[in-house]
Amino acid sequence: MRRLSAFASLTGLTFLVADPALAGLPTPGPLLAAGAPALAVFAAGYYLVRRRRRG
Amino acid sequence: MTVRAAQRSLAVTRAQLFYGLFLIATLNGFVGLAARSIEGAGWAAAAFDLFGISAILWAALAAGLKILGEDDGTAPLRRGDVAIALVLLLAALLPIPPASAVALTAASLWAALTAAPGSPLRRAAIVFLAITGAILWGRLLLAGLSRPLLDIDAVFVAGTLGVEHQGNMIWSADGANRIIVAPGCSSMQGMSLAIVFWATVNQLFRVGFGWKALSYCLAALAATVAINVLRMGAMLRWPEHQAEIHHGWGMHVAMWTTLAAVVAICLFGARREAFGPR
Repeated sequence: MRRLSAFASLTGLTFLVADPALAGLPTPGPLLAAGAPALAVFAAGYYLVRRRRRG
Repeated sequence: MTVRAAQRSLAVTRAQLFYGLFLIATLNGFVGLAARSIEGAGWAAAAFDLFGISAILWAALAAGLKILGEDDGTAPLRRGDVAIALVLLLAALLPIPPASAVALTAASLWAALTAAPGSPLRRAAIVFLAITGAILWGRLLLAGLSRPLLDIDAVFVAGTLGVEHQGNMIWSADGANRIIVAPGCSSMQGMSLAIVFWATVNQLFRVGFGWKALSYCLAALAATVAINVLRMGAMLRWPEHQAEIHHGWGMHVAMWTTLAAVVAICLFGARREAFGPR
């Protein structure tokens, strides 16, 4: 129980520090966002890899 | 309530519990970022842009859940699992966007440390831990250490072009133009996603961890930095095209080149496991 409350306190402290620090920072990786087309390429690539592995 | 009683009342396996927890926490971690994207671009454009969240992160989420789906369901719940679940669900209810990302970090660390080596739970936990690096810790690091991190980018650009720089400000050779490396242009952004993709590929195809695997991660990081530095250098070299390079076609060229390089390097590193027979 003591470990859990210590963990909860640490988590709460991180929230307080993280929230204002992140304000105004861009979403992760504008250089690698690439949108829906990139996700379609990933899905097609994975499908091809699976097909190849199954022979 | 004992662990066994909790397991009976929950009627879930360890992998099933973490499947739900990882899914809830990751989607919640994305919500704060997605809301900003919808506000700025509207629903349709935001959806096409995957709500401002990299395709790598969506792919990592899908891969992590797929890995967890491979679990045979024999691992029983552990003593701390229920406590972790409660903290994560509590964090999901808080109206603070990074709360779920912090809880996801705790849950994935816990799962990675307590699951059997090579088990689907440990492999999935590593993928979700890498996701938190991109959606929270990398950004927090950039917020806290923006000055030295942006200065490093400026050093690379200035060194490549052989020009002067001061802090994160770089001047062109004739001193007529200058650019300032802002947090949005930092290589750190792309690097955290390169790590997510590398971790995802390696865990999905069960690539063993070692110096060789690590060297492909470093190569992917180096490619990310190199392309970003070239993009910033191009803005300084051709100031008349600065806007196009910064947020027009130049950005798209850099984005797709980086993505192609990271994917190629990571897949090459995992070629035996990914393309070989099972």
